[in-house]
Amino acid sequence: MNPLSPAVQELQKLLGARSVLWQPDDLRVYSYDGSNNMATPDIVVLPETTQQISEIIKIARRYGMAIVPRGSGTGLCGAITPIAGGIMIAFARMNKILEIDLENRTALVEPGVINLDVSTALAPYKYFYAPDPSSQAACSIGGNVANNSGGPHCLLYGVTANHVLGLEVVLEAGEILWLGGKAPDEQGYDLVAAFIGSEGTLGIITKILVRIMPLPEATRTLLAIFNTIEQASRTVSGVIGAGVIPAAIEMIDGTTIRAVEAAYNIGLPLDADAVLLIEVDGPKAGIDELQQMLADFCVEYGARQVRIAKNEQERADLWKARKTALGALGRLAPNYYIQDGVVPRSKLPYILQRQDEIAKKYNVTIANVLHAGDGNLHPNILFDAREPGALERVKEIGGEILKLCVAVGGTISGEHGVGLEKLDYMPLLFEKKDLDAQAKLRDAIAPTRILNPCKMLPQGSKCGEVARSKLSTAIAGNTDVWI
Amino acid sequence: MTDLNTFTIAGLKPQTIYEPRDANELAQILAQCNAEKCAVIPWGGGTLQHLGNTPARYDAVLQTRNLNQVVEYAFDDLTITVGAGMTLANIERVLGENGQFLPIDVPHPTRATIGGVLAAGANGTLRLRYGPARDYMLGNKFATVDGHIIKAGSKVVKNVAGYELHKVQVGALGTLGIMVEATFKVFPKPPAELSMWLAFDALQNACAAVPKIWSLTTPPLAIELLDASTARQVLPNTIGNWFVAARFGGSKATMAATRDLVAHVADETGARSTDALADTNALWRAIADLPATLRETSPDALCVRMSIPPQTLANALRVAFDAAHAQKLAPPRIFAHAALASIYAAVNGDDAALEAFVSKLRAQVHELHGHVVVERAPSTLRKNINAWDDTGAALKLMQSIKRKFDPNNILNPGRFVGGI
Repeated sequence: MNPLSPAVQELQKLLGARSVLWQPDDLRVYSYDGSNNMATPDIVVLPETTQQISEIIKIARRYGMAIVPRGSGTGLCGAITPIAGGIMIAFARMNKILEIDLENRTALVEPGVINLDVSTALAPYKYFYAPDPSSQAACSIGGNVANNSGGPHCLLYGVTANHVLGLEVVLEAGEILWLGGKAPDEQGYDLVAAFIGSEGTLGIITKILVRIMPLPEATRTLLAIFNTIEQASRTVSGVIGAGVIPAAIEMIDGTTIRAVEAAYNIGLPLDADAVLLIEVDGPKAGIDELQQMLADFCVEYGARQVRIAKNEQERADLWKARKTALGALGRLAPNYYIQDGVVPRSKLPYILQRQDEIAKKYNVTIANVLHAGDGNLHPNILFDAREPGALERVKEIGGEILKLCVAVGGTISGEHGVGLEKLDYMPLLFEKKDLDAQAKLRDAIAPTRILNPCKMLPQGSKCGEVARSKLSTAIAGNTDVWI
Repeated sequence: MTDLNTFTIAGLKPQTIYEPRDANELAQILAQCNAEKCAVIPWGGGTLQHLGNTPARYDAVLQTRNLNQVVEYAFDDLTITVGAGMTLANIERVLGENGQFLPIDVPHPTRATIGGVLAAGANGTLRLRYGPARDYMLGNKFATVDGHIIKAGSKVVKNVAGYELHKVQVGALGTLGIMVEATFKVFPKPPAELSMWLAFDALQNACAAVPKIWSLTTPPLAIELLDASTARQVLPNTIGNWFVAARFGGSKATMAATRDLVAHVADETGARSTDALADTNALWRAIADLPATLRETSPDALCVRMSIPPQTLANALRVAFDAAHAQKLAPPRIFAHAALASIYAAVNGDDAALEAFVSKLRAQVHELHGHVVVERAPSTLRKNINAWDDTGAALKLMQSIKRKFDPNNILNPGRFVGGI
């Protein structure tokens, strides 16, 4: 793009020069998300109001440019990778909490608000916003809604979709629309449900009405150490099968434990093959019994030690292993490729064993950090992107794992989204007629496909070619891969 | 041979009854109806067919009652997949054998089918704790007018692959396709329960108790508000004018502590009596049935459901009483899912007064940022009154979705919002 291009000029007139980025060095920063995909937008805009976004979309349509929304860029599926170029709407300046309404238990926020900031703002009132992706200190609520994000505490509280009551959206014609609200049972089709998880393909979300909840009176956190990953995964199936639903059950495998210890030295045994981090919350009355029951359960299933947090500091220490896990993997390899398949919870022991066999077959190391209670796998396949063909190979391994997940009745993505990463895997899960039905929903709401094109659904050959040409360029320049 | 009269809707009868043996046959029949542009009304147990406007056309009824099998029950994964024609009572029985349940407590569980309940977007008292059905419906299969059976969502508890078409079917009144199967996350029954019954002299005090109970450190499963007429349907000898029924689940220790907390709220809000009730399964069944009881105890009543922001509960009730009073109607009979503010009101009177009542009520409830659905109207009034409230600018998108999925407009034509 050059500064004299009419699109840049129109956008500058609308937003002011400091809110329109077009120089290659500026754009480069916006080429990435948290995945291994990369493509550069033609223009980045930083609007501050819904009205501006409506005008931006109208300008994009006049010039036939794609629109790609971007929150914090922490996504793991390439959903914001602008493979068709175009205008990227960055939400960094739409980051205000507009209203906290304790009586109706809602908060109205702009899309750029950081997830954790909502709970921080609510803490003085003893309320919180439940969905807590592991990136919650960095990821935005808008991105969470677009991807229907999860997190460790989804086990009890449910995913983002269960906590969004209303949305302001801008449609591809520039029309601004309110969906849902503070009253239950909105009439007509559940358009809020349609927009959540739609990865920016149906409309641009500009305000979000989230459900907030009172903080639980008490929380208990325990960490159980196992000699084998099988014992740990059987414990998870056992707890769920017994009808006990903790707030979170997270699993970290031995490879990850050793990386975390090397980086942070938090006192986990290096010879353990898995740890489970289990949290329960609720009323004070009865919570110690619940904690004891879970501790007993872990011992019964073979835990060699169960550590129980005695205070908030110890709780934070126990969570540290989980929260620092992905960062610590940098100790083991320059890059990791994370997958996000889900299996029925009773199939965890089986799938982890099969995954181990795959790792051996390909001679790679897989570090596992799982939302185990939900059966949501996060295998991190370690690699070095500088090695020729390495990325292609780990993607192949990832695909093999996803096929296994689907074969045992699971799915290809629990919380990261389809984006570009999993387009090719959608046919594992859905037949053509199913995908066509999904396309009908998209075409009913956003027929021109200027909104985040070529994402979510494997589509016409044109998109495929664009995707491959743009993406292969990104991969060929592997030295550019930052993460 | 089934009697055609069974399927009368607003005086209209179908010419044909289809009763497919399975989902494939259902899809074939639907495709055939589409080819012949024959208007189809999907029918489960028929317990919610009072909803919506008079059908624009009505040629055939398509019954789902043979789709009544458990497709897959992974009890140790806490998930179940059932045919759309399975009744809630049968699902409850199957899950109960493993101490699990599906928190959809709507009227007439022995007749109501899961497909019908989902299509109608019906929710019961337990929504407060467990959310609306769409939150724990993980996926489904539905037949489309072109004869396909479409799979949407998944069978595992977390899935973000693809658009959530299964959720868009919930509350769509079968106007986009006919559900043939649904998968749910199910829940373990709490080890112990507590049911508290608070009686009040004044509505204001009863309304004041609702947010206080909702904010207790033990999250309630349900908080219901009943007037004297509905309260006596479920607890005949209870004394008072307004009643709050609160239900909790958890460990015995938690329940014991919660009982004291609720008693404290009762004191604070001036309740005339507070009781912890025992053996409450039948009581909660009767409470869940109240939306139907309100309709059925007075066949001529106009029955509305008001949806409002939680904080406006007392205001919305005052608005309803004022609107009735202005038309010289007797005060509406009331039952409400109180915390999430969904109010059922039944009122009797002549057509002109009822029509004016609805119009005034809608205007005032809009001010509270809520809406009013007329669930049932006397037959003479039905054609003059829109079952649905204003849907605003979003209607255009809904019509566009409808055109994509049902271009010949054969599925339940005319009954849904905005003439869909």
